[in-house]
Amino acid sequence: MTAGRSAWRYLGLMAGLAACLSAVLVQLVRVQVLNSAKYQQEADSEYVRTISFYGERGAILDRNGYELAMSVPMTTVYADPYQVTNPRAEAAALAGPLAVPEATLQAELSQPSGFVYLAHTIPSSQAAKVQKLLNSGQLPGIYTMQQPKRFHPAGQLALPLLGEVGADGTGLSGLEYKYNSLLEGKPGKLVEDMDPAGGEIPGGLRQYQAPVRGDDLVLTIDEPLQYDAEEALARAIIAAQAQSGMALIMSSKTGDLLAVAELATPSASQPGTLQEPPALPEWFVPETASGTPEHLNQAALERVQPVEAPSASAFTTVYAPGSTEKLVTVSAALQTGAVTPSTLIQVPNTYDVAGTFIHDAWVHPTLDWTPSNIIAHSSDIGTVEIAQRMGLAELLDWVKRFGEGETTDIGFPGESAGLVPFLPSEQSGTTIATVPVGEGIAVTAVQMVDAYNTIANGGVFVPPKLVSGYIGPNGHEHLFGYPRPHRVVSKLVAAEMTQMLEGVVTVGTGQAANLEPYTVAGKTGTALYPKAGGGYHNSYFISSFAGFAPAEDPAVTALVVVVGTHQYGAEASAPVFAMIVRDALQRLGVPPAKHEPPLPGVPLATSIGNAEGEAAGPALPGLSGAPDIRVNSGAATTNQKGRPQGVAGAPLAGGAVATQSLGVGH
Amino acid sequence: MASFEPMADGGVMAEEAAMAEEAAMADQRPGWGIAATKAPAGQPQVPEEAPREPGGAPGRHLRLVPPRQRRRSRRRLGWYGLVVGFLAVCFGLVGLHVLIAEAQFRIDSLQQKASADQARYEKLRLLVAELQAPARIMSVAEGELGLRQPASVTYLPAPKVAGGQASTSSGGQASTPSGSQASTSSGGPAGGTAGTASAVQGETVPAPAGDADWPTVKPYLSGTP
Repeated sequence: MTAGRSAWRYLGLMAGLAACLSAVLVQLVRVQVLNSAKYQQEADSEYVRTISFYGERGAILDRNGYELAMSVPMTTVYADPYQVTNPRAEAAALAGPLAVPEATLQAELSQPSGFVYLAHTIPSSQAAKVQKLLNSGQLPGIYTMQQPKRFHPAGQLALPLLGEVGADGTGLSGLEYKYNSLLEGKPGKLVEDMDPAGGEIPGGLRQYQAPVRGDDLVLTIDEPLQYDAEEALARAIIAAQAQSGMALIMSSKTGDLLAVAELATPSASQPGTLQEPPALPEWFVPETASGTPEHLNQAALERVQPVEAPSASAFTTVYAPGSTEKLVTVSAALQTGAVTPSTLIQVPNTYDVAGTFIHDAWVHPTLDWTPSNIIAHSSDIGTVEIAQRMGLAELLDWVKRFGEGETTDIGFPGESAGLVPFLPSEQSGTTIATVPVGEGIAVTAVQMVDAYNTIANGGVFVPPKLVSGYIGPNGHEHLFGYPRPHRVVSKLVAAEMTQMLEGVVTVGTGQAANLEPYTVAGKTGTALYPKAGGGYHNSYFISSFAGFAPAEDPAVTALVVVVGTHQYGAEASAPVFAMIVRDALQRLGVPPAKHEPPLPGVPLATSIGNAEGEAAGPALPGLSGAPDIRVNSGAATTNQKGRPQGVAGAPLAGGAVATQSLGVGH
Repeated sequence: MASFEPMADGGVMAEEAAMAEEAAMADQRPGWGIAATKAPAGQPQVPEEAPREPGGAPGRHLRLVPPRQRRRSRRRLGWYGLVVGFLAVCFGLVGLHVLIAEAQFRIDSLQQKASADQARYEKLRLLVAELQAPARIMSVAEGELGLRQPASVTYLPAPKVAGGQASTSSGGQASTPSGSQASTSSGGPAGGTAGTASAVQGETVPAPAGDADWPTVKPYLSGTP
């Protein structure tokens, strides 16, 4: 009996042990085999941590290596509220150094979360104070980490070109967006075992992958010239009471864009929208009865300083080029043989095109003018007559050859191809009268400066460049490839055109751009400003001046566009062109050259005095920082003799009635 | 190794003792001497006596250690060795970890220092970039130093230089290379800031104070046209 009971006990014990062992075995299989990955992951999360290191974003440099945009690691303060023992006390201690209200901090530190940000990328001085508190051990649960912050050491300089970077370090616009893959760094990480206190376990797991810094982008922009261009343009916008403006400087031989200034008044902040003529600003004091010159209140003037345009308008925004487009028309006519430099063209006071009378900017008798005089004095009628000798199809073909109507090889984000009526459905009977004078088309500023640079280069189109290359981690610069230059017009035609453009500056509409002893070849342009609801403003213009210098051996090609002003290109843009080109020539060390004799067979433009009512614009102002800015009264042309006479319905000399105003012919 | 008293009757006894000891050691050192003493399988292993020289007297002060005691003693020695070895390994591991920990602290410290230095470098780089920004330079030049842009710019035709191009400058500063027409009569380098009119007329132009040390700072310029 006893023996049997013992046997049963023994068997029961064995069975119990077997059951326990079986349960253990099952659990072992479940943990170690079936769900091993899950439990391994949970275990790793307990004692293995991964620390990520950001890959520093590369800098954007100008052509001399000056930083225009760069990233710097800054201290970010965060907290693990579960580890915070006294939110109130810690909030009180941190409020001062972080410059954050104590209540806000206390609320953050009391959140049921394991991670909250307290302050992003704080300045070094604040970071030092926080670190001092952390070192004292008074702030359990408070930590710091390094996060990159994008800086622009030169302030707002060239900001529309550079673009913006988001909080996550990704380029959002401009070059930051286009070259994001080059600029952004590759993040690194550290995987290591940690002890319960969060410290690294010596000799434990440690896998380190170093972050890789992004490449530095090298632009063709020259920072000092960019500054000069922006400063001069800002003054021009203020002086002309304009909405916005652009100023481009290009190295003639290489096509490098040395400066791309894009400014706008704060009111004209929306890109692509038409702004109605503004009321005179409060700081404007009109001319007094005694004839005292207008003056400005300096303090008020500073309040309306133009700011960087909201986008890179030189690439993304089109404008009507006005008479600067005549370069394309006349060059094409010379190349095709439609006219020669000595061809005499009869220029009447008014001219009928498809039932629409066009006219020049001033009343004149019928003139026998060569292309030189037509260009120098910016005759719309003469230019239309030249275009008619070619025909519209031929003209549009040459417009395209000069680079208008298609995007550049720069491929700037959002770049516009321009508006050129290539399709028959976009054309009308007056297209042959509008396109030649830059009213029926719209171009980007880069396209127009390219067209002038083609003539500056002896008829060879040099693709514009904005980014020359990048500097890799090894410090070597890698140059980007650009298409090869190609010839558009012959060298002879380019020389003839250059001489005609010189006439614009010496005796024509662009005398304000004269840079004696440098020789300047250029052209004024004034286009009517479009109305938001269709049509054009009669006395509200897009004024521009494009050209190059020295004319004998061009080193610099430039364009200045002042948008939304009552002033002509001769007054609003030509002086600014002179200022920035002079600075550029000096900076590039280009000496004035001995003047070349005029080309044989190319008649020089002749001065016609005040017969045309030409406004040559003010003399070249000095570079004085004093507010020596003249602002016209609301009637934009009070100091310009001979306003455009072609306002629709206005009587013209000889009893003709203009039915359409194509422009102002400047 | 046992030592023996030298005896008068020669080294016979010493030789015998050495041979006996060698035979005993043969058991402990595997690989040699075993073959001579190994008993056939199934029989207790009895060490052979050391061969004696004919006529030699047996060593009276030596006794034969029983095999069991000898094995026990060797086993004990083995255990001691194991314990000592284990402790040595333990101490070695602890020491190694101490060294690793120390190294880790150094690594952490160096990494923090490197990180701090890198951040400092980046901030200094930013500071330099901000200091050399055109707007800041203009602000200092015009606001603090009282410099002004010239109201007008005068351009001067510079004399042709041998083997080079004519150099020009503006703003009332004629950049005439040392030894050029404008400065030869001065007997020394005129630097780059000779007066405008003087440079044209070739008058003697004293070098500005700032350029007085050019010959020493840039000796390669001396004699250069």
